[in-house]
Amino acid sequence: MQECNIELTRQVQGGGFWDFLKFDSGTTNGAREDGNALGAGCGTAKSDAFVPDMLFGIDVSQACFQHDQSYSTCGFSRLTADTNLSNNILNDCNAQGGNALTCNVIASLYSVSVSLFGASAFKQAQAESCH
Amino acid sequence: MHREQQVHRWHTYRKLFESLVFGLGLLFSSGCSTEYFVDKGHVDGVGGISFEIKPPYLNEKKAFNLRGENLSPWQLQQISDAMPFIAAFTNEQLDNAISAALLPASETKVRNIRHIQNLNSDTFLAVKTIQNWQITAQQIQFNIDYFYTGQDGHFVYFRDNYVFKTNKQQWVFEKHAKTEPEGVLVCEKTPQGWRVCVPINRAKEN
Repeated sequence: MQECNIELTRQVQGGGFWDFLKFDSGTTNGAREDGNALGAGCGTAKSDAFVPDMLFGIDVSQACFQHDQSYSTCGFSRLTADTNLSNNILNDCNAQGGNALTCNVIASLYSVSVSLFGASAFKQAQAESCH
Repeated sequence: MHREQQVHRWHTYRKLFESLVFGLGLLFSSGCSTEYFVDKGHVDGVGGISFEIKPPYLNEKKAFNLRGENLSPWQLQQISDAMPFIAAFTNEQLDNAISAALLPASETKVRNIRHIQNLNSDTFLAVKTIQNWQITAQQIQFNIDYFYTGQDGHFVYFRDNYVFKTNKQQWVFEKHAKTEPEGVLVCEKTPQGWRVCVPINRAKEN
């Protein structure tokens, strides 16, 4: 029986297509590959391993990290922080060669995520920074 | 045979659906969502040395690059001791809000990134990474990579260099390691898709 591995699948299906579906949390064995501490990108220390820092081959880690830092700045508006995240992903994705559809999908995905799950994180970060 | 395959596929789909419902239920349950979406900090162990990646200045502490530079346990311990002071100092350089940084007084003037780059108070300045550690018994030298959204909407990365010295069990800014900052960085994507940034001068040399 033919053994099927990723490399063989790439050869059969074409590498380009699969590269387009590139997801990466930027972590390996519980540590970030860029050397920073867990949570320095998309997701928190606990969720860093399964929240993608790279989506469809586009590195969104800086937009996420800036968003985290906005939340942690005393008095910063959550709406502004969330709007900036979306705009930064769009612009940064464009700068990395992403097409309009890809960039809008990624920006929308992260915008919806922070809208749904960001309230408690914002509250906590503001409480800590405004101590 | 065909019927068996259909039943098998149906079971697989059902298991997938159940896992998805269970996962989402777990994710949306209040305890779990707090755990995974709110970062209260953690203790990181690098080379046998503990680092308190906790508030205050949680994000500045997360930006410490401790794994990519082959540091000895003794050097890591020095950084661990200095971390609260360097994190507070970094936060002060960002100057995004009025914050009561508990910084030891330093008599040396620090270069102001906002002045150098002509950034107004509306521009949000963030830290990308703190790295390039050079450590002796009395001092710690490092770079801070900052970034902000430029006028064209794209991120601009900027690097400056710092030296901290120990003084009465506190670490304080002593001087800049070089007379000039490294300045604006040029970033390129690696084959893996990650962004790597180097100073413009070094990029021109290559």
